[in-house]
Amino acid sequence: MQHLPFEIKVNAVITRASGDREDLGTIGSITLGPELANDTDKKDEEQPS
Amino acid sequence: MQTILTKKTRNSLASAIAGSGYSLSVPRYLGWGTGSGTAQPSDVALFSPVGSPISGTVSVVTSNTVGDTFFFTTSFTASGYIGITNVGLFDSNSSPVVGSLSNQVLPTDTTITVSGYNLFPNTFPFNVQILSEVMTVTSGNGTNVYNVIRAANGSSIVTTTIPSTTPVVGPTGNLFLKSSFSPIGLQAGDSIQFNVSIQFI
Repeated sequence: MQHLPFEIKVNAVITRASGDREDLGTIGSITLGPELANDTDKKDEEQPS
Repeated sequence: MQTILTKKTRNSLASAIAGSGYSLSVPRYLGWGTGSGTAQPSDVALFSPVGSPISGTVSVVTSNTVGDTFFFTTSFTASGYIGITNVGLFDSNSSPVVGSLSNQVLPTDTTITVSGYNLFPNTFPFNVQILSEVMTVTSGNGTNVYNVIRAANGSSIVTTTIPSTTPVVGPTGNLFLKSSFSPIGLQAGDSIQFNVSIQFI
């Protein structure tokens, strides 16, 4: 199992001119990047079944 | 959507752990842009930035263990319609220089013709970002043409023809973090609050 040493989140909440509130939640985050994902795939392939 | 820490930030954080110092100022300013693109670690600017970065509140808060999270928050109200596609945290609220291409740029070109030449620095070198590519400007003709080194700062060369009128974004404060996402539409009078957290685990 692979853990990232940190987690980054960008959240946004809109308050419309009408007063309505829209919580967009997390619009950006860091998850497993392509390089890490590839490494994981590679390791998975190398593991004996 | 994609969120990244820039190359400069990564190096600065690693240097801090190694005891050789942290070279960035506090990233307490948020800028936003309306251009399309996917955030890359090599980025030095936003995609089509709008105005100057605005200040926000920076704090250290507790998520799981005491003081394990950097937290930034700010908000602003739109004065007219805007479709926000990317935001960035900067260590300065200085306005980015934004010009545009007067002519298209081919992948093999090493000169660019720009509108707004006088807005850019008159000392060299400096970096500009066009789409996802960073270019180092090494000299200029004093009027409208720059000589550039393509694919600078570890960015990839844009392999298609870059059309004229594409924004050319010049130097500003250091970009700490950048996030790109599907457009968020705001009408005049709408306000939006952005919260950015970096939790160490």
